[in-house]
Amino acid sequence: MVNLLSANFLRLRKSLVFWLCTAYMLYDGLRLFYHSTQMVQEGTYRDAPSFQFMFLGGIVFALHCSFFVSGEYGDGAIRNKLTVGASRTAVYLANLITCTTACLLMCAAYILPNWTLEYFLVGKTGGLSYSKSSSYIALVFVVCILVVLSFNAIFTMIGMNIQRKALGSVVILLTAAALIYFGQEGRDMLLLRQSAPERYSYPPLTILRYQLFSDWLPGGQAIFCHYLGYPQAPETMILHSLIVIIVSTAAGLLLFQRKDLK
Amino acid sequence: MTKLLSANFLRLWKNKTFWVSAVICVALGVLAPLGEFRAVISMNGGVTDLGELGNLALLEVFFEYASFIGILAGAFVSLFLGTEYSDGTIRNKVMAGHSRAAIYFANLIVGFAASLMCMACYMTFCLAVGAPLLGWFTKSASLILTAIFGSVVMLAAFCAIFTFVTMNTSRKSTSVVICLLGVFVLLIAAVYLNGRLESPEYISNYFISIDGITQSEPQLNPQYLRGMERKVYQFLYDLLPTGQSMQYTMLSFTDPARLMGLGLAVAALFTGAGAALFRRKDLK
Repeated sequence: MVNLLSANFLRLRKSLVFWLCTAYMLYDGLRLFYHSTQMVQEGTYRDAPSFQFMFLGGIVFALHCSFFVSGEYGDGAIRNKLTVGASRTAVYLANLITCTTACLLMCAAYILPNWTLEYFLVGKTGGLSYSKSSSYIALVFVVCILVVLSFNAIFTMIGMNIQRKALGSVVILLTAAALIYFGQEGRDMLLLRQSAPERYSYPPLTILRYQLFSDWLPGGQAIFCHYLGYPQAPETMILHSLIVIIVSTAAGLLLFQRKDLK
Repeated sequence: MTKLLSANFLRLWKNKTFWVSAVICVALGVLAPLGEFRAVISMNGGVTDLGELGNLALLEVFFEYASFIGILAGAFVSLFLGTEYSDGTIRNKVMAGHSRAAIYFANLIVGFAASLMCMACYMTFCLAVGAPLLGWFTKSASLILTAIFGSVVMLAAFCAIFTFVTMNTSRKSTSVVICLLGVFVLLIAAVYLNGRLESPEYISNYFISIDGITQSEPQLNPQYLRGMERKVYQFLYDLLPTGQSMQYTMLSFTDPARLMGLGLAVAALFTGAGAALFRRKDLK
């Protein structure tokens, strides 16, 4: 496993897509910091610290994962790894760990400059509202990490079980878009129902669908982080994330164990 | 060119991706009006005789294809045409004596035709399921036909862009990612442009005090677009195929001739540029 991880991280270091995604996250963090300085001049404010990168983060993670995992099939690397004696479980988990680490590094590229610059340069001018307690922000941060892991668990499950590189990329990207879209829809519908239950009454199956995409799957949970944890409790989200991670990793491993690697 | 088109269409009928795309459009065409019917009944207090409410609901759900057809076309066109590079088919066609321009246009036509068929699947099944449940359209036929024709031109613009990318990128996976990501980026741009264009001219602040909620005097909105800035934003919104898709989905267009003209211009520009680049491409 150590050898597999070394090889993966060496490949990651040389991956153009990884560096482009990281550069985009860095740009997004700096762009939002610049926007917050403009808000000070306009006399408006927003909540801080910012988790706004999570809204489209799923697409960025999908882009990286699709190239990294699907690329292994195209280059024949997976078959080579199995030929030299690595187990299928080790190959699968090594890819999952590498993709997750890469995505966490991308998040760090956003968080480190954005949070520090905003706190020290804008925080005391009234343009940002640090109304949530540190412990609450820490919980949302934990949710954020688990959402990244959850996204990568699902994308790895797809990428490791679709042998065709291009098809794997399409499915991963469309899955990311669908998770975010239906996550936002589920959240909006549930909030409407909360505000006017007699007007917005849905059948039980529809409510379950909205809850699944909004509260369980990573798209809706990413939007939860984006809005700084409103309106559910972060502890619930942590539990849901862990379940999704375990289920998707187990399913992905099971399918990969039985896959015929032509 | 005829032989190229025959070969392309023969490959299309046997292509799994095309049939999966068509099935997805059929499924959405069935599920969308069913979901809308349930939602409208729920808002109508359980009464199934919907009247005007149903007619408007059918109109809303019928044009929903405009919101996702760009993404579907991006996935299909890049996968279908990208296979030609990976299988060496393009090189074979050139060696058989076909001109690069003929190959390019034959691929563009089949990509557009396939996307149009998927769009037609959605529309047909949406009407077949939606009309008995929600009633028929009450808006003028000219508005509906204009929107349908305009969305066909919009689809042609999308397919021209995807063909431009796919025919000039040797690696299938790269062209797939560029096409899909490109659609997402253009969609986000269109949403942003629409948001700025829809910003109200005046905004009021609300204050909560001991006397209750009070509203301040309306003030000029700094985000409101005026003059030349508004014209530029509107032009970009009309130019982007994703901007057009939003306008057709919401039936919120004011100048359909301008939209179609811009759609045709985008299609012509990307087709011309794509064919020119493809002629000089090194087919390794």
